[in-house]
Amino acid sequence: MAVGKKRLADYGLQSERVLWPDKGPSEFERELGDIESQLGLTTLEKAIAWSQTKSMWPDTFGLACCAIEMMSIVSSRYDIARFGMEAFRSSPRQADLLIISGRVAQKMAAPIKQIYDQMLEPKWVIAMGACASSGGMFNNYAILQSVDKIIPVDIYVPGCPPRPEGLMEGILRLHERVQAGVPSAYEVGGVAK
Amino acid sequence: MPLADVPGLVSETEAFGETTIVVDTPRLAEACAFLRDDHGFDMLVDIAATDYLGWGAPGVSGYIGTGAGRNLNRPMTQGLQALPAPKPKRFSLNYHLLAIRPGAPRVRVQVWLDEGEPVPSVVSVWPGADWFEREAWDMMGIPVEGHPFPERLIMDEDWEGHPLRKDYPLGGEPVRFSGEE
Repeated sequence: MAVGKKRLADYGLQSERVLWPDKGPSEFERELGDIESQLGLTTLEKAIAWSQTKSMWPDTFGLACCAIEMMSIVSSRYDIARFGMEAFRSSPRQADLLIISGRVAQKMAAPIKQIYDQMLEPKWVIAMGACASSGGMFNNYAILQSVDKIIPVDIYVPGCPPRPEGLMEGILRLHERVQAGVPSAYEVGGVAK
Repeated sequence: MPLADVPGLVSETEAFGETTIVVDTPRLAEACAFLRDDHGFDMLVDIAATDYLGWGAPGVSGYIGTGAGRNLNRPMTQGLQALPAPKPKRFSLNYHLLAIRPGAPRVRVQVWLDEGEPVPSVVSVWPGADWFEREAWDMMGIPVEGHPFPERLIMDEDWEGHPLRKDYPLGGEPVRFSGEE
């Protein structure tokens, strides 16, 4: 730091070494590492997974009573807009997440398969409630016993209906899965047999 | 309510404040048109089909009582009761009619059917009968003649069987509970 040399402050930059000349390099290197993670300077896949998680738009697919709880997480009390998901898309071609909320009748199975096929990869499916997970209380001829007979499911949320916080827990676990690098269900195994 | 002039009338009963008239099946559309035009029953409220398979056999229909019903307020009326009187045929199709005028009289038109016996459509009399008759075909297997669109309403188009009949199984899957054995 000779007299004639320009200092970082002359360039308009703040440097900790200038402010704290007693700091060793290890401290600086450690803090540089923190700055890296705060700015998201990680590998490309991690960055992509992070961005997929932070704006995973659901499809407006409310079938029955669970749809009421799905609607209520958009309200201000439970507020799914905190996670960037308040934009429910009406078209499956624009949606990332299919939340099967409600019982699936035998007649509805074909349209569900069609809508799932119209979604673009990457896509995830949450089976919300007991009826979508296993047929629920309707163990009879008219209701499809679990939607994973026709489409692959990532997360099963139990409840009849699950509270909005319960669905939120399922959505957040899906976010954790995606950020950890777990592949979507369609890549893993397809539909249940 | 003087309903003696309804064409095809077989019998007229009055019970619990409700009037029920039984009509001959081939003349049903004529009787319904007569009720709508001459007696003013311009609203069809409901078409309800009932399956009486096993009626009166002990333990099959599950109803033990007299023709007047069980009296829950009279002690010791459970147990050995007379089994109910047998019904004329397996299926009964009930048309609930309402006249929209002060007093709002209601009447039930009933036809009795065997399995596979068709019933004429009343869509020409009340257009609202459309879906009720499709449901009667889908759920009970009562064929309707002259219906403009005789397809299944609730189940898939290629579904076999009629789910609400007494001999149709409940369906579903066997569920193994973790608390077993």
